[in-house]
Amino acid sequence: MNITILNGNPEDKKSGFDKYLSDLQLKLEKANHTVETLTLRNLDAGYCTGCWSCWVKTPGECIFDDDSHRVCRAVINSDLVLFASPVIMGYLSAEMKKFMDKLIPLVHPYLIVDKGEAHHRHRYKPSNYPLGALLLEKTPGTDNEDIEIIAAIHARTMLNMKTKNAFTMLIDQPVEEVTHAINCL
Amino acid sequence: MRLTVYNGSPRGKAGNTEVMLSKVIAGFSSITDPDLKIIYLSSAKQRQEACKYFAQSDLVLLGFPLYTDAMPGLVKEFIESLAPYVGQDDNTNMAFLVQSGFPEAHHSRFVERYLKKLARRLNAPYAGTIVKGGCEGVRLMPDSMNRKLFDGLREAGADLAKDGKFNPEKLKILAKPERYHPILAPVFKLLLKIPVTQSYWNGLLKKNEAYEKRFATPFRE
Repeated sequence: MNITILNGNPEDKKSGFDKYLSDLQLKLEKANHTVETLTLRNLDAGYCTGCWSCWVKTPGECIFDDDSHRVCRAVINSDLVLFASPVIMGYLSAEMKKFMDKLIPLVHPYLIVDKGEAHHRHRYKPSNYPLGALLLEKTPGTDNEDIEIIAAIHARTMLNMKTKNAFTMLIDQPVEEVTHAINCL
Repeated sequence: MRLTVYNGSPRGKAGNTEVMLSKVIAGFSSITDPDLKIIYLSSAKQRQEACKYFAQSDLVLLGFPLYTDAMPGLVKEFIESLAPYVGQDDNTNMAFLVQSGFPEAHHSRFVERYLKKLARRLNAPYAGTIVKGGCEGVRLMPDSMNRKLFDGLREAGADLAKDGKFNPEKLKILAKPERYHPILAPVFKLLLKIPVTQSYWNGLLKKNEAYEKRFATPFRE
């Protein structure tokens, strides 16, 4: 599989998280997957400004020439995208959310009906959209309800991205278990 | 009564959130005149100072548009800046407004659950969340078409001033349609296919001479 790991860890110092992801990448590569990790804090992009140029002016791409283009390209050419983030104030990091907002050029502004609800129309072939998965780190103050809330929101986001959230895992599990879960997809 | 309103729209004063928050504020002010501070989180400068007004307020109202089924990234940055208040006693009463372009309110219920938990995380009384879908065109419509929505928002603001919280039953009515009944799905499907529902986007695409490119797929290799 082609796998993109989006690393939403905002801090350099919290090396445990980055170390976990680099160990995971090695294990996945050993299992014959092609893996690219994008460390979002090192990429250059501003917050989505809500201008909708990516829908009505430069269809399919952010009008700002920033690294969100690189992230969009990696995501739409993957089989699996791992959204990896420490839990901060009960949710994915702002760094991760910034780049998730900038994935909207991958869908179309038109609304369609999917499972009885309005959702954005696909821009790419529905089969082109990668599976999503969540890899989270519980930080002090994070409880199971937080993990449930994040997973529930993410399932919605993946539905809007014409795909689904394959699993939600925590980094207190050995990398072998995450690798196994991916091998089973 | 010190009321701090956080506008979490990336479009700031030019967005639909602004219009909707202004109606809630108007309703609030019809009951009691607050010492009002409005902060635009789209401004990097205001965002960095935003957390210091949190503790100084008696009530905060945070409003934002739904972005990928949750809060916009810049709102998450603001929420992270509230971390020092976690575990402190007697934090400020918190009210929320979430609006989206989807016709149904249901899409915003998932982040509503997050917001309720956020208030608990901050030991803050939870005043409730106004949820409303179908809001993409609010700022462009004549006021007559928004009357019912605006009346509901004003009433919610008045309830907030009177009771310190929204009235959950009234919020349910304001949120309608919550979801479409499965039996109606085919009707709904048809409705979205008629040209008028796409005309808003098509108008913008044509104005920008981008209509022919509307199905572009620039990133697929």
